[in-house]
Amino acid sequence: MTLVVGGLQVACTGEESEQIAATGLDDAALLTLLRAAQLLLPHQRLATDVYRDAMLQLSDAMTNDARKKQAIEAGLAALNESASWLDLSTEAQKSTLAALESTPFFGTVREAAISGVYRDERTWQLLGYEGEASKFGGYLHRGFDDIDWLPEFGDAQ
Amino acid sequence: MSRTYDVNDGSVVVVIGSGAGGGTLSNELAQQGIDVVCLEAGARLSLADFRNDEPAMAAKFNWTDPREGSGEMSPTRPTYICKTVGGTTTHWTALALRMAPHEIRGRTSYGAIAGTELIDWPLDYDELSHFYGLAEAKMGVTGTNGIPRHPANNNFKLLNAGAMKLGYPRSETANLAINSVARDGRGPCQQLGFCRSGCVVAAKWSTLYTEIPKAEATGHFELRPESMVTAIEQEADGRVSAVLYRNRDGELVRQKARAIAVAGNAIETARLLLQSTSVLSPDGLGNQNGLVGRHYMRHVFGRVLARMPGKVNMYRGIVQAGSLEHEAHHDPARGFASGYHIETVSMSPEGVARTLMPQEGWGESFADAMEAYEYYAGAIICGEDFPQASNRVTLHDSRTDQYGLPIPKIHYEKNENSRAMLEHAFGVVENIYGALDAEKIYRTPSGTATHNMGTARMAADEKEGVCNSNGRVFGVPNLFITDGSAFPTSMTANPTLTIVALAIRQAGFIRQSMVERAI
Ligand SMILES: Cc1cc2nc3c(=O)[nH]c(=O)nc-3n(C[C@H](O)[C@H](O)[C@H](O)COP(=O)(O)OP(=O)(O)OC[C@H]3O[C@@H](n4cnc5c(N)ncnc54)[C@H](O)[C@@H]3O)c2cc1C
Ligand code: SF4
Repeated sequence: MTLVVGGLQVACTGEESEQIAATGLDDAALLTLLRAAQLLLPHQRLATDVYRDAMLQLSDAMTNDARKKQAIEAGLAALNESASWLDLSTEAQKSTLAALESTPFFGTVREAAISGVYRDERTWQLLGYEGEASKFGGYLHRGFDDIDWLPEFGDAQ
Repeated sequence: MSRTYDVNDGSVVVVIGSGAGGGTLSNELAQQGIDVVCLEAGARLSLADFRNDEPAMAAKFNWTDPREGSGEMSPTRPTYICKTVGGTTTHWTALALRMAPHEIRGRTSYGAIAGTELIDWPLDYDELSHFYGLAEAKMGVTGTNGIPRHPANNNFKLLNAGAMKLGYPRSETANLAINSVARDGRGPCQQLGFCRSGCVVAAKWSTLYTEIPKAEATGHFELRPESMVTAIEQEADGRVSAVLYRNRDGELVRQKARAIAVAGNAIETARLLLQSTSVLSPDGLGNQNGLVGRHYMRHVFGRVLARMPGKVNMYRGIVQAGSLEHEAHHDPARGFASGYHIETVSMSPEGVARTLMPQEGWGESFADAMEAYEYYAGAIICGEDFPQASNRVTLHDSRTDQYGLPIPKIHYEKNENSRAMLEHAFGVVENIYGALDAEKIYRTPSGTATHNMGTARMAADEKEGVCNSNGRVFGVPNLFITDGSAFPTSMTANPTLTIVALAIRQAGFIRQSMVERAI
């Protein structure tokens, strides 16, 4: 299945559709969360998959966390209260989302987006973080001390 | 080789916790031929379980049992400790610093400080220095015992350069309990930068692969992992005689003991004393003056992240490579007593995200700030904290954990002196980064403590503390405190070297007391 959200292509394999089904979140709900995550952490060069995976994790976590589930359901309802949120302009989406800043929904989605997106190796590549170091013997021979723009102070550092 | 002892064998010393304090005391006693049973709430991992992956390791070794914070502490995650064999030494970043001579006489050096119950340590600095020397040799601390210091990584070179530009003298990398050369059967540091995820090459000192196996090799030591002590039993004559613990199958076991040492990392130590009630001690062991749990200290603490004009890649290499001590002295002219260290620290993208969040909010400005990840330098402020009776650990009156025990509550607020100190420190760190043209600087106070001290403090006067200078609890001749709980003040230094030095000293005292048949 291919879903289109705000010009972004989201490919869903059969396996992931099952995961969505298991949480009781329908596709539209998942796409809404995905879009919210993109607005919260808008990295232009980051693949949509990264956000989607983060929100799938949230959706999984909801299945055995009643409080999270309730927060998400309440937030989704609030976002879509006067119009279908996904159909709004980006600016209108942002202001509707901003109005929810102090709700548990906002906090839950932001927390899930931060832990999901910034623990993802695809994000690390974008940010220039090299992560796991043991596989290449650490940074001992890979630039742990390669800073070259500091002022000199007479003797070597 | 590793032994097993019968639960009714009342000749053993029971040590509770296998981290810096408990792991060290266990080994020191076993080396002298004293039989020790060490009960550790967490599981035993091996080097093969370690990953260069912070969240994955946190899931393996963090203490996640519920706790409640109030005041300036995070309500849900007030402290950070590990529940695993080796305790928080699996996770610590290995700065191994000594207390300064003026700090041991806090009350004398600083005078009365409003809102605090400051006392002197009941110890002589020269004597403590001797034990610092032994601790440094044990842990292989760089810059001591002829062990070379580590080279500076980017994050520390930058901090040092900024300080020098402001006119401070050059600093060397810190005294670290991380091998710079092969030593004690362990290899040198590879500058992996994952010191907090368990050092996969074991260059960093942790009791998991030093003290514990050495104790096992003596044939006088048994480690029981996944054994959570729930109470200590006291007899009518004041002595403690046994502990109760839940084993890995959830069964309640009673282990008899000749003497008991508690090293659960301050919060758990106070909690265990408070919940161990008896006819003699209706409010908990050692709590006849209502002081157990009080005087909790966590250091005057703050984090700074600075966006620099050039790349830093702070994550490369030793997490806490250096500590600037230019402001560690006592100079009341600065508007506060005592001083602080400025220590480098690195953060993963997730750590940076959480630090930026309060100021950058969300949306474009947040994402832009994150995309400068390679350009950040990071440091923490670690300053001396003074004891306040209202900063304390108590037992919750209704919430219990998976063992059915009341969960600990931790309340902490800074006093006048700490607030002034932190403000000064943030200013100095900002000037240091500013001297190298930092583009933006983020200050973060921290609601999650990594150092826990003071909750069963030692004192010369029985009315002012819970234990004496050997960590022996007043009124309980065979019960000992073997962790930061016993500290009367926090010192500016990070706590672990002092915990280890005191554990070595205490082992000698326990042995002597056994020889004299006092215990
Ligand atoms: C991120 C971080 C970085 C740090 N870096 C430094 C540093 O650079 N320098 C420094 O000096 N210090 C540092 N520390 C602090 C250092 O980790 C502690 O000072 C030290 O580990 C404390 O030793 P301990 O024996 O008191 O407790 P721990 O090492 O935490 O060990 C306590 C053990 O007791 C067990 N336990 C608790 N209660 C019970 C019970 N009831 N029954 C059975 N077992 C129990 C726990 O599971 C744990 O394994 C750092 C801490 C953190 C979190
Ligand atoms: S930087 Fe050194 S001490 Fe830290 S994890 Fe790596 S090898 Fe171990």
